[in-house]
Amino acid sequence: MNEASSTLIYVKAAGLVAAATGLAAAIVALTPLESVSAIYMLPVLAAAVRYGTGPAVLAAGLGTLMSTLFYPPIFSVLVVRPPQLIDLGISLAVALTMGRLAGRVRADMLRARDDERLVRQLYGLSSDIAGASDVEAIYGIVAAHITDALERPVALFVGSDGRGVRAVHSLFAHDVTRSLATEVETFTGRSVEASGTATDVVRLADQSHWLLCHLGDPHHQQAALAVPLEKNQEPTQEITDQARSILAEGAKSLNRLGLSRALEERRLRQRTDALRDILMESVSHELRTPIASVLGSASVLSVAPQVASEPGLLGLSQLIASEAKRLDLRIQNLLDVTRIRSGALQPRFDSIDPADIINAALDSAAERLRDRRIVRSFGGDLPLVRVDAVLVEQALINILENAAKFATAGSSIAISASLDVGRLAIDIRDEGPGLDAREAQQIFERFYRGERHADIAEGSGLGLTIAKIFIEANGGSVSALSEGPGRGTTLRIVLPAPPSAPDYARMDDD
Amino acid sequence: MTDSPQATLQPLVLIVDDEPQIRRFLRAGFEMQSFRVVEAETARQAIDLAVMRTPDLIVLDLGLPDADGATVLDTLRSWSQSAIIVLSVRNAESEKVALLEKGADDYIVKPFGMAELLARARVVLRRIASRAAPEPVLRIGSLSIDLVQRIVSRDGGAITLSPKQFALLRALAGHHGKVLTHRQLIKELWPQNPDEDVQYLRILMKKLRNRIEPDPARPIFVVTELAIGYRLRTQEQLDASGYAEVMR
Repeated sequence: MNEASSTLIYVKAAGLVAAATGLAAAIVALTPLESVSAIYMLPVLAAAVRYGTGPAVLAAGLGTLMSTLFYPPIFSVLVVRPPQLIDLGISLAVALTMGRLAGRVRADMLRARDDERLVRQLYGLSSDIAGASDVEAIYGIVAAHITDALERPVALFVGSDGRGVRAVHSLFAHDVTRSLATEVETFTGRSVEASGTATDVVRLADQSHWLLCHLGDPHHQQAALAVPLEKNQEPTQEITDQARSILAEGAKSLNRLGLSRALEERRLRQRTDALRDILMESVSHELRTPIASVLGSASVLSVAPQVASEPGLLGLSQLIASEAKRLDLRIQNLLDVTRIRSGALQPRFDSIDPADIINAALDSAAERLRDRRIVRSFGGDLPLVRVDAVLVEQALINILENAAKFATAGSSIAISASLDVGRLAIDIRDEGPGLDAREAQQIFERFYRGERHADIAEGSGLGLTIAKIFIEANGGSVSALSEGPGRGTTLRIVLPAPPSAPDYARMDDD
Repeated sequence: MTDSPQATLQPLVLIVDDEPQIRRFLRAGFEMQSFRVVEAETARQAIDLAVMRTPDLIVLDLGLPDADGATVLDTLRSWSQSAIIVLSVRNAESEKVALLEKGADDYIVKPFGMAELLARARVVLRRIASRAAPEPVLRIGSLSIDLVQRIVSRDGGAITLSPKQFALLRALAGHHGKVLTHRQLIKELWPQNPDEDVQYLRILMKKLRNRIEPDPARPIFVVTELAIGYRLRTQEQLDASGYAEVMR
């Protein structure tokens, strides 16, 4: 508490006594009172509870003094008699007891409030860490949190498997960061040997002092923090102790939050992802060349006179070709997933007539849509949209194939497109088994395949997931609508369309 | 190809691919259609053979071990008159555009069927054969385009086109059956402003389709190659597409 407010509370305590005097005077004027000392207990109590022991003692003294006013001869001060001394003694005892009690309650309250804030902060930190996708992100979050808690910038260093340490987060100049890295390296090397020394104070060439501290368990995490202390002066024991305790507390919390485990998991996941992506890529390429030969060879057989004149043989060679094509599409899906995962999905936006995209998708999927009745309801008057046509086409193909998979031969698949306040909606409606509410949510999940149709629905379960990601990469959305099981499904793609009509006038070509 | 008046000698095709299995089926497919075939598995061999044998058609795979496709194409195009069809992969639209603009006559995406490749081969070969004496009137289904008299009609009914719309149709007809990239068309239509936005081409195309297509939402004459360009179909391509012209 600062000086002004500490003076103020004494003034306020005196004010309380004055108020009690006024009250006592009012009561005495109305009815004779045996003793006013009880009334002077009130300011003592109030001061003790609100302002603490000191102001309460002042109130007790002043109260006793003022109460002499009300003893005969009335309104003459400073006639001290034994009853007043007893009053004073009791008042002081009350003041001291109440003051201490109230102080304890207040301290408890403040501590509870601090604890609550800390818990809330830690809770936020732990959910941030849980949400972080990789190791770097976790360190960034931790550094930001500590910067907040210490109210000063920090630098975070991570050891990288015997190849020195590197800064993963630093708000300081390059050269400062570099010399800090050297210090941190010595520090971490030293404290791994002699476990226990969790902090150290170092001085850099520019006379700045830094507190170094381990982050997490030094045996698992080669991570350390550097915190700047007051510049150009030897840090006082008090300041370093304070920083130490905050950092030690922070390190403990981080361990409790499972920082080590989270880091380990992310690291493992990153490595697994990388490995899987490499594997997927090479497997896909290894598989695609033979598939191209199978498809090509079968297609040559199909046009060979000896085979073409034999319906049975022709059917077989066509089957080989179409199966090869299907296999290739599966692999394409896997490649697309790899592309999405590796962040290589970079849409190339260009304005295009949506009808062109829909027609291209229908052409590409024509073979698999052969036994379905295709109903197109869109005109040649759709506005141009700005999208990556190839991604949107692939999404449409996947959705059409999905529809073909579930809709029985002879049923119809309807494609419509309409403009609706700045958005273009493309609906693909099938007459298949429909969806219940839960399925409508789940169908976009990776590897999801409808339980009700596990027998008829062959496929990897990637098609709709990819469709959704591709459409979202174009700033659009995909949703599944169904009036319920047995009543068909509508997949709706919504793409942003330009708010105003394109500049047709300028194009007038006469 | 036997109906070609110049078919005293069957056309020679050079197959350039480093995968022996692919070369094998390509050879079988072309020979079945009475093409003569030579093979190369590297860019070096391909260029040597192109010089020595002057093939009518080169089928060029882009993934060669000793040079990238664009370089091979550049080298070939600097002196060779052969028709060139590039074997490409999906998701490589900008590469396809670059190769078309460097002078490839067409491309086909792996994996593909032989019938598809043969159809393209016939189109590019016919175009080369007719370079000396271009047809004055093109007929595609019910559509007829008289480039000399500037008359376009469908089912005998004359269609009025604005000069710009006719220019677009003429550009496509000049490379009948071949895909023209957006950039190539823009250069031809707005020579003074070759960096014009693709959007203007798209709008002009919409207007042209509204005039000449039976169903503009489902074009059959001028088709879109997504992210690449447009193609004016030949009669053969129209037949192969499986579209029956029902809207009379």
